[in-house]
Parts: sequence; C-alpha cells; structure tokens
Amino acid sequence: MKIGRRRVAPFINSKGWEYIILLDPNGDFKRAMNVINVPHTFLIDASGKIIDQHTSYAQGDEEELYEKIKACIKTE
Amino acid sequence: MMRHPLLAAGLLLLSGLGLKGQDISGEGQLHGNFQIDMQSYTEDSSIGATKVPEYVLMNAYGNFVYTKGGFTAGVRYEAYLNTMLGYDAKYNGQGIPHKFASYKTDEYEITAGSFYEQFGSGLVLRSYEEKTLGIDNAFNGFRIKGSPYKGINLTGLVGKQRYFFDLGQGIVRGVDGEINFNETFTKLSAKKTMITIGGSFVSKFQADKDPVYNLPENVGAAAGRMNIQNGPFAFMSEYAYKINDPSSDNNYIYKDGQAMLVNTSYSKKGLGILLAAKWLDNMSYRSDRNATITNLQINYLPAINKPYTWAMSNMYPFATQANGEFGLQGEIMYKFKKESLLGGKYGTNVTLGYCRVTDIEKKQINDTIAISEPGTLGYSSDFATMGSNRYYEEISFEVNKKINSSLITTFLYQNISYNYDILRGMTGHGMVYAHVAVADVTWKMSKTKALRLEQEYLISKQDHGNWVMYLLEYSVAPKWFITIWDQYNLGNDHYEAKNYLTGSVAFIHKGSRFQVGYGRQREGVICVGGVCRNVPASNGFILSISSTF
Repeated sequence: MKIGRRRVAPFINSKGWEYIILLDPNGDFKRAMNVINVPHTFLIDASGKIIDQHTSYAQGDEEELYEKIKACIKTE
Repeated sequence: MMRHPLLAAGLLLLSGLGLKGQDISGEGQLHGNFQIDMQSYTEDSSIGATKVPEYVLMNAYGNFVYTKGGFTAGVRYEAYLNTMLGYDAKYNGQGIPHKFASYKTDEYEITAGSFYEQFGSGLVLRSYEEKTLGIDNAFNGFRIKGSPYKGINLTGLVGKQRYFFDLGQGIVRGVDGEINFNETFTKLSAKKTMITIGGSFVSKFQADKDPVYNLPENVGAAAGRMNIQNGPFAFMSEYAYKINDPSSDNNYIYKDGQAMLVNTSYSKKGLGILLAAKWLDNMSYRSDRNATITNLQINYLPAINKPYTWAMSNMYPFATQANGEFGLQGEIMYKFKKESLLGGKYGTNVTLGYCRVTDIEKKQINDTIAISEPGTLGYSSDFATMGSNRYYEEISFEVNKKINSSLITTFLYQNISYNYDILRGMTGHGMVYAHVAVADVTWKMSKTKALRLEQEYLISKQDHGNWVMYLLEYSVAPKWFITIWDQYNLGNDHYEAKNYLTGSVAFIHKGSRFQVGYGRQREGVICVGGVCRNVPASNGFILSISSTF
C-alpha cells in the first residue's frame, strides 16, 4: 500500500520501528529492481549479490527468510 | 530523502559488483519481469455484467533490462489482446511502447528514450506508471541529471508523453534544481536543523489549431518547495503557478492556476502527529489540451486523504479535483507501550484521523460572464479560500493489536461523507453518508500456517444501501494463499439484494506468483493516490501470472 512521503516519518516513529527506511517517491527503485507487487523481499549479501527474493507476504514467511540468512552466514 | 542514493543503490545491486558506474567494464546482467492478466466474461444481468465477443480478455507486459557498469538499456513489450474491461480500449494491440538507454557516472546521468520523472511533489511535473489504473505517461525524449557540487542536484528534460502505443502531440521541457544545505555547506552538516530547497520550471508547446479561440501555444508552470527538519519536527511545503492554459479540463478559460501544499509533522518513538493542507485552483496540466481522463497529464496533484486497502473503505474513494479544491487532514498515531494497561503484552497501535475537502471560492469576473464560461478569464479566486461545497469528509479510528503469540487483530471505524456527483462526475446522486467498520483477525495456527478472517460492514441510507463482506484466507508460508470472499449488498427500495462471491488460489515461488480465481466482481472504482479508474461488474475466471527475474 502506498503511503505518502509526508506520512512516513510520523507513521514509522509511532510504531517504534528502528531500522533504516528509504523512500522511493516515483517508483524509480521499484522499477530498477523489477518489482511488480509489494511487498517484495530481497536477500542481499555483503558484496551486493541478490541471493534470493520472494514476492508477497504470508504469516510465517520470515521463518524461511531466517533459514536462508543462517545458511548465508554459514557459507561466508 | 533524495532519489539519487536510491537509484545508485538499485544500480549497484543490479551490477552485482559494487561498481560506481564509471565505465562499462564488469559483468553484464539481464533482469526484468513480466505479468499476464486474463479474465473471462460471462453474461450476468443481475449484476450488470456483460460477456465479450472474445470470451477472454488479456493485458500483459514484459520488461527486459540489461546493465553493465554505468550503462543500462531496456525494453518493455506490452500486449492487450484485447484490453480487459475497465481499461481504455485504445490499448488494443501490441508493441514496444517503452525503450531506453542510459549512462550514469558519479557526476551525471543521461537517458535517451522512455523515462519517468518527478519534480518535488509532482505539482508541475510527474510522469509515472500505475498498472492498476492503466496509467503510463512516460516521457520519450532526453533527460540529463547532474550533481555539479555536493548537495546540489539538477535535472533537465525534453520529450513527448506516451499515449497508448503512440506519443501525444505536445512537447514538454522542464528543469529542476534542489539544494540540500546541510550537504552543500560543510559548516551545516553537523547542525540539527536540515533544510532542502528546490525549484522547477516546466513548459509545454502545442500548436493552436482551434478555429474559434486564440490559444496559447506555450504554457509554462513553475514551482518552489522547501523541506525543514529539526529533531522530531518536519515541515514540507510547495507552491506552484501555471499561466493561462485553456483546455477541455477547465472549459477553455484563460485563468491562471495555482496550487499550495503544506505539511507539518511531529514524531518521536511511539507518537506521530501530522497536519496537512492542500489548495488547488485550476491546476490541470496536460501536454495535449484536448486530452481527457488520465491521458497525457504532465503533473500530479497529490491526494490528501488516507489510503486504505479494505474493500468497503474503497466503496466511496476520493478523486482529486484539479479545477479547485481545498483539503485539510490531521492524523494522530500512538502506540500504547508493552505491559501498559491498554498496551497489553505486545503494545497497541491506535490511529485517529480526520480529513475534509471542499471546493474553493470562485467569484464572477463581472455581471455578464458566468463562472467558467469558455473563452473568458473564467472566474476570480483569492488565494487559499475555502468554498462552502463539501466534497469529502472522513473521521477514522483504527486499532492494531497483537493479542497473543497467535492472534493479530485490526479494527477500523470510518464515518464518511461523500459528494457522489462531484467525485464521480455525475448528477442526481447527492451526498452519500456511510459508516464503515472493519474487523480483521489473523490466527497463526502454526509457524507457517495462518487463517485470516476479514469482516467489513458498510451502513448507508443512500446509493446501494448496506453492505456486508466476509473474507477467509488460508495461507501456508511461503507458497500458498487460498481465499474465498463474499460481498453482499442487502439492497433497498431502489436496488435488489446482490451477492458477489469469489474464490482464488495463489501459488508463490520466490519472485513468481500464479493466481487463479473465479467469481463475481462488483462495479466500482479503483483509486490510487486520488486518481481513479472505473471497474465494470464482471463474472468469470481470472488468471494472473507474474515474475521478477
């Protein structure tokens, strides 16, 4: 769901989210990454290589993501 | 936040080698995406659904982008065989409407071909794509972006805009400059107050072939903006001015146009407050003065209301009125802390919102000229005046709460006043008053299985009366979504009761999504950012395949 640029800071702070949030006002980044539906998750290693990606979100997707991150750390 | 770091990050990731784009050495990569949407249409007179001679209609596209170092080139192929209902049939056919090549270094970036761009909030220039609305007003021409000094960004462009598989008549040229004071002046980099100032100038040319009026062939618009941030406070504002631009949108009047946006917010951990005001006066700006609907718009006038994904919340959605509107919005977002009385185990998020949009005050120029009479100056209006005609008003209250480790809930109540005639461009409907209530509960059955029940209610004495919606979604992470939902209109003296039952199954594999569905879809309006598309009623199968590679 699109959230207007002006609403971002109060929205994020009110939820208490403390990770970095970047803005993509005209969808330039979304287009550069060829994203069709949001949310779309990319798992990227330290060298900038895309290891995995996943479109949409279902409760429990984070379990698979967590396993992939752990596998990534083991091989590095 | 500037766009440059974002696009640089995007290209960095695509090149995969962390190159700064100084040359074209390094690994070349091909990436892209595609989406195919198909729908079958069966006759269903009880809901006003028609069949189509083709039985099935299809919208599809595929993007193919190649990057090597600082060089990027891409094409997009689109096919509408034939265009799905609700989208403009001028799309019928296929071809490559979007192709570009660009080269980027640390200091500058040049693009030739199709591109998207936004100046500030979009008040004088914004080209973007929104596939759900069938909008794509991409420029086709040249663009150069440069950063001659740290903290200073300049953009210049010239081009025509996309019109289905062709280009619109008008030529658009524009320049934009932005300076981030804290980056430019090292003495300010450590200061708590951050200031960014920007300005744009856009001009369009379209030959005058009108037999009656003497129309301006060059129409210019300018805008200035300012962002100030100081700790928890933020202030954003933009003002735009457009010279006379008689068009089919404003009934061919010679009045100039103005727009003003003001946003202030205060936020700290657990609390966010925002206040916004928007004033528009005759600010429709297209590269073809005869274009209509969402075609060939040069600018974008942001919506002031809060967007929702719920079906009942979108029954009466707001549509921006370029010819004149005054909007006010306020929102308070608060999180009751964990372990507090109202917070519970995980904390509770509460949002209170209010929004009101009216027309603006328009006065006759003299006794003989009616307001907006074609071929005249139209009307006179004072800066930032509020009219007495209400277009839209909404009070909303939302609670998001995770009750325990397996139960997540959202509750929403809205009280909506909707000027149906103005916002749908019709007559005879008057105001619609509706209460909307939503209860969404997700039950995490296990680590990967979840069941979500969504209940929505719309209570109204006008239009189609009351609605009830139930949706049940079973998801198995990371691959499956099985959903069934029913929107039931209880009917009233004017309309019979109607049932809209639909089911769908979606399969996800990494960046790909396959979805099949079957059922009835009600007639309605889809809006994104205040821009809307009419959706006709339909009955049939849907198939949707998308993939990012």
